[in-house]
Amino acid sequence: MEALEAVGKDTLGAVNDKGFVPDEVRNNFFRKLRMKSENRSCFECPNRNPTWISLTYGIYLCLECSGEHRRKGVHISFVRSVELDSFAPEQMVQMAAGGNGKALEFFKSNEMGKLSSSGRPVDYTSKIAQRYKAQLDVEVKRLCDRFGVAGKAADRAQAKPVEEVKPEATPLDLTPPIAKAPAGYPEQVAPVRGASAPAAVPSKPSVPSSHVVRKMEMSPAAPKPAGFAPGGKQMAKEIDFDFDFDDLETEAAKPKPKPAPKPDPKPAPAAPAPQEVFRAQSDPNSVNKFANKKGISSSDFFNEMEPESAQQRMDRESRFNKFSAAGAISSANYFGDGDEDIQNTEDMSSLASMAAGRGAEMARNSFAKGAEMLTEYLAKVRD
Amino acid sequence: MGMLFSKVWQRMLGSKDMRILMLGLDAAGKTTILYRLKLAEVVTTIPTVGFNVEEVEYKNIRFTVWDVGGQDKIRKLWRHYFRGTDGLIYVVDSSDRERIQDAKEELQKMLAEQEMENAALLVLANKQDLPNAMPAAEVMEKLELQKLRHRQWFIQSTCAPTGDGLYEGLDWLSRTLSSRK
Repeated sequence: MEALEAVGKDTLGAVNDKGFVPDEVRNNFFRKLRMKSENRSCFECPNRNPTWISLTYGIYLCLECSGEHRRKGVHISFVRSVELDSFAPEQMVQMAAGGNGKALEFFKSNEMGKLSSSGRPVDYTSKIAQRYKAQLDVEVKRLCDRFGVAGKAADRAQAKPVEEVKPEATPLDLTPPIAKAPAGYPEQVAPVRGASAPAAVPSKPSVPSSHVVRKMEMSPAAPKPAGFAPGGKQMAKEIDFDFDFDDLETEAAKPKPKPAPKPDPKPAPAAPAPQEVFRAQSDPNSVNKFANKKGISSSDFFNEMEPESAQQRMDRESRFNKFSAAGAISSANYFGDGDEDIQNTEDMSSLASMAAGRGAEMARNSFAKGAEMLTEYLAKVRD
Repeated sequence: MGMLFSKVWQRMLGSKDMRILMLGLDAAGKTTILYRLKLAEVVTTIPTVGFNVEEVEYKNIRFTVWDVGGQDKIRKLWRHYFRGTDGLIYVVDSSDRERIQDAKEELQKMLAEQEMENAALLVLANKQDLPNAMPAAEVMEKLELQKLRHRQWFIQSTCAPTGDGLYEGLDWLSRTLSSRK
């Protein structure tokens, strides 16, 4: 916390238009934290002076191990560089709340991590890891309140109303309470039962943008805790202490790691099971229509490009429709400039399915190329 | 007409050199894609501090691919690589919904640069293997490609480790670029 205090409330509030603190603030902050002996070697390996971090777990990593973490995907571990990335205040709070010491201690008592007797690497998809994250979230929330940071995040929520994120917020409800035990909580909580009262803390219901510490998406499974009040906006202090952690655990065992999506057009205010939210989300209006397309091009897309009227909007949506099954879309397809692209994709698949052989494909290719050159040429002439 | 013939001629004679810039936010998969194309294998990458550059030969085109790191501070250096770029490969982590907005801003900012005026844009909606990955159409919409009326673009969903979609993207790029000069 000293590092945060050293930075101070005012400085934390002074962010640029992207919501990041100035570099000197970041540097001073991390200099302090990285001086602690616990943070002077990589969380995963013996390498010294790590300059990379997993924001998700508030831990310091060496370059190699950061690569390992990045490979897991941002829904498991969100990696940043303390030197090459910009930081938002809430991300700094996350690092102040975390640290290698705490995390190593916690995972050691759960037989994971480099300090554990087995030396078994931490399984970041495990329930134990989830629990650590949840604890960290609560602590972060507490510190955010104290340093007036969360408000900033809410300010930046711009286009994303709180409700939209609510379903995702449910995973956080698993978080055990920390409000009472600020500093040394890992010891207390380590062997499961120490803490029994999870907090209903939608810790940052509105944090939208990149700087977010990604709590929601982190938690792979978002069971809805029985005692969760769908009102959604409680603060850490309003914890329901009658919570049965065992129930939560059994619940937590069910769901799969399927992070909920961000912008959910149908907010489902009562916070249904998050996976369902995602599936149901499949946005009927626009994207869904392209949903299955693997590629989309510019000419797929445009026929005209004026400010959009209602009619045009409809046209555009029907164009989306056309691509819903595509893994690829090109400008030519999209705008209808050159039909060759869409033909290509279609031909490609049908050819493949018919196993029509190379001759046909070559013929098609050269035809397409010819057509392409011709359009190109004509376009030039027109100009 | 002569131009048309010279194009055909050129196509028959083969290889052209193209300068390709591969950019995108950190951890989007740029380096993995680069070496997947170059070596046809999955390399174990670490964050790129600086850049990698490799020549990749495909369909009679020699692509010189510049893969520049995506960390916040490194992004400020991207513009030094713009000049002479024929094609921009913009790699997006389709599973990173929280940062897709950032990805859009970086992309649109770059496309507004004069030096990038003529660059064809290939967007790779990468990491399709991850849970909850946005499909190509959604990435397209979030990046607002539909607003890019005067640019040739193509978006392709990819999965770098398996190589899915990479060559489809490169196909478009080679077709688009070779029909140009």
